[in-house]
Amino acid sequence: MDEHEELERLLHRELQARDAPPGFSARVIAKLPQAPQPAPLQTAHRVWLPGLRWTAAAVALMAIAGGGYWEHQRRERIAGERARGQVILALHISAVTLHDVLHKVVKDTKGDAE
Amino acid sequence: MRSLSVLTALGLFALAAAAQSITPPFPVTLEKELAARASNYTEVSLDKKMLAFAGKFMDGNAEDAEAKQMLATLNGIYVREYEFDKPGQYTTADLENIRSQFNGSDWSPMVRERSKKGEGDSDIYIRLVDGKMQGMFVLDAEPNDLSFVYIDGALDPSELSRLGGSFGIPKHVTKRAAKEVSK
Repeated sequence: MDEHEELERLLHRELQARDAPPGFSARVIAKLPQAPQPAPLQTAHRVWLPGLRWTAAAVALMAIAGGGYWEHQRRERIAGERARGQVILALHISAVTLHDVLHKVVKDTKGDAE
Repeated sequence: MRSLSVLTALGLFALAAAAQSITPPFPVTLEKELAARASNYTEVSLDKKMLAFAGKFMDGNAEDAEAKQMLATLNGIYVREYEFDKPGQYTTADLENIRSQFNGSDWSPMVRERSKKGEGDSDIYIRLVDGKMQGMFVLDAEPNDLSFVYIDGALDPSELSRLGGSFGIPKHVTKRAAKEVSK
């Protein structure tokens, strides 16, 4: 047996799979460091986070609704001003047309009388 | 069988009512033709809804308040003003066509001026219901202009007079018009 064969046999024996002694896993787990507990602040976040989300959603919704209402009001005001302008134009033309007709009649009546 | 005839009658009644409701309040005859012939035209149609809507925005000053008060009793104002490049863009038949729509029993001609070619005609028709003015139609034809105004609703000439000096309407215009109309 040469040196190489001796080394191979030694390695084979030492690296052979062996069963762990009973209770080994439990002892290893027991020695593991405990997982850190959540800090008090993080706990508060967990409590408040859903509330904050709802508040943000409500604020966003209110902003959208408010913006929509404001836009509606703005459009209505523009349409109203336009309608007012149309009324004024209609009254103006009505008054002037009526005046022109009556003026013509009066002029012709005077002409006939003369 | 009886119920069928009742249903038919109801259907006919509904159709008649619908036809009446879609009848335009202003005579639309020739509008498109006149607009096509005109070099410049103004058409304003304001029904009761539009007048009420405009009224909401007429609170700014005293003249607005007076106009608003006048508009409250009206069902509509319809104005057409056509300007032509040259005379002869409308005929006496056109004018007759427009006038014919105010020949109903409610309407009374108050002013009627006729020229040979119809290019100097003037008309004022007034609609009287129970002795109260409920509408007015004014037609003014000039060689290069044609205007007609239809005011639907209770119109008080004294209110018309109060509008003088407002909205660019000269005071003497409404004063004279109100005086003549209320005669």
